[in-house]
Amino acid sequence: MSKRGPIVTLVLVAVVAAVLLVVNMTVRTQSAGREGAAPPSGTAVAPAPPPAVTSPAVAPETVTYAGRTSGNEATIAIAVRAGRAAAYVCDGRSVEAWLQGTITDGRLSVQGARGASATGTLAGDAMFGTVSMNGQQWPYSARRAAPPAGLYQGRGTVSGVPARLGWIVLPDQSQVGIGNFGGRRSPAPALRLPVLSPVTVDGTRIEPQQVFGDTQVVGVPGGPPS
Amino acid sequence: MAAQNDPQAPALRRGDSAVMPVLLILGLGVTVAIILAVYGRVHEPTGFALNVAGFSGPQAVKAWLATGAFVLALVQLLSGLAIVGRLGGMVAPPWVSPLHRWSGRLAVLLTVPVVVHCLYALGFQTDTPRVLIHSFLGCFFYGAFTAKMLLLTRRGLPGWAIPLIGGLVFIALFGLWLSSSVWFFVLRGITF
Repeated sequence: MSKRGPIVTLVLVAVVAAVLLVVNMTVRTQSAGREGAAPPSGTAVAPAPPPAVTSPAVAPETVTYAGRTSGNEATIAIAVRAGRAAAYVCDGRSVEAWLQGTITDGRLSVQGARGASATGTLAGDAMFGTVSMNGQQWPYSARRAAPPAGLYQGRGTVSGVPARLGWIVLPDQSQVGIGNFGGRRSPAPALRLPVLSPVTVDGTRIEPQQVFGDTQVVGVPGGPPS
Repeated sequence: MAAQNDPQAPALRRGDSAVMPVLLILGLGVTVAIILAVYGRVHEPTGFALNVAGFSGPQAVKAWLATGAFVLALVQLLSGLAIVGRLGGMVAPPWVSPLHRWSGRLAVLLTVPVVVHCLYALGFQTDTPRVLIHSFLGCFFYGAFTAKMLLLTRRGLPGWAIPLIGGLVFIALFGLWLSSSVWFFVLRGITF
């Protein structure tokens, strides 16, 4: 048997893979709009997604604040636990941002992809602050929200693309949510509460879970780059 | 000399200069698998990649490409068994070796668009047992394939070496096919 045959095969496979990858990256770069701004390299991904939170038992220091920006541009939910904070800003149609950070001495500081951030100050049962995203700044106010009001997320793969869904449930039980399917955003399907049950998107079941302050929300597969 | 050139020599002899290169080749295979896994983990999944026209979506394309690869892998299994004389004791006709070589090449080439999409658009995921197993097997498959191709260039390997590594490649592809194509077809029905 020729000694070269298998090497030729290996090289051929590597070359075809490299060509496909380069073509993919080229097409991606050319068609990249705002959504495609993330370069496909060197971006750290969280080591592992957090385990699904199914227990209804909530630790005492676990609080979620939910509210709106002052001009009603978007809703915001901020989950706080043990000094860590996870927040989600969402208009229910196409604008959303996942933010992660800390809360120290009642001062909130959370950041997300593409320069999105929020600050806030705790005042009793309410949080007041400012959201910065897409080059805009929105003042917001949020109130302590009792379950089932709160912040929820779901992840999966829908039609071959990573899907990331987020829902804010306001104290009046109204919901605002967005599904991000490989960078394309659309309103999320309704979340069934108070018992969390799977939602179906395009034939794929996705298990929503409640987001707490220490839940990893930025830099997860299917989510925004950290 | 005859034994040196016979790929079915009984065993690696002690002190044979072939031992180190073989370990090196296996190490290279492991390295390939680890590089793919690390890339899949570190690279931010883009969510989408190029698609093939005529199919309902990337999942359908991948499911069918992987099915094609698996059918060719069955040809690989049978022709491989024939080559080592384990197919009912029949003597392999001369066309079996080229058949084995070319069906293998085609099978792996069919998997390349699939793995590029998997790694580029989705990455190494651990969310559910299925995607974890699939991610692991995908990396293992290309590591084992690399090792097998390189081992084919070595003379004086024990007779079981190539069938063993070939069997591992086959099992990995079978597992990949079960955890993707079969899963997809069961969920969606046989769709294009």
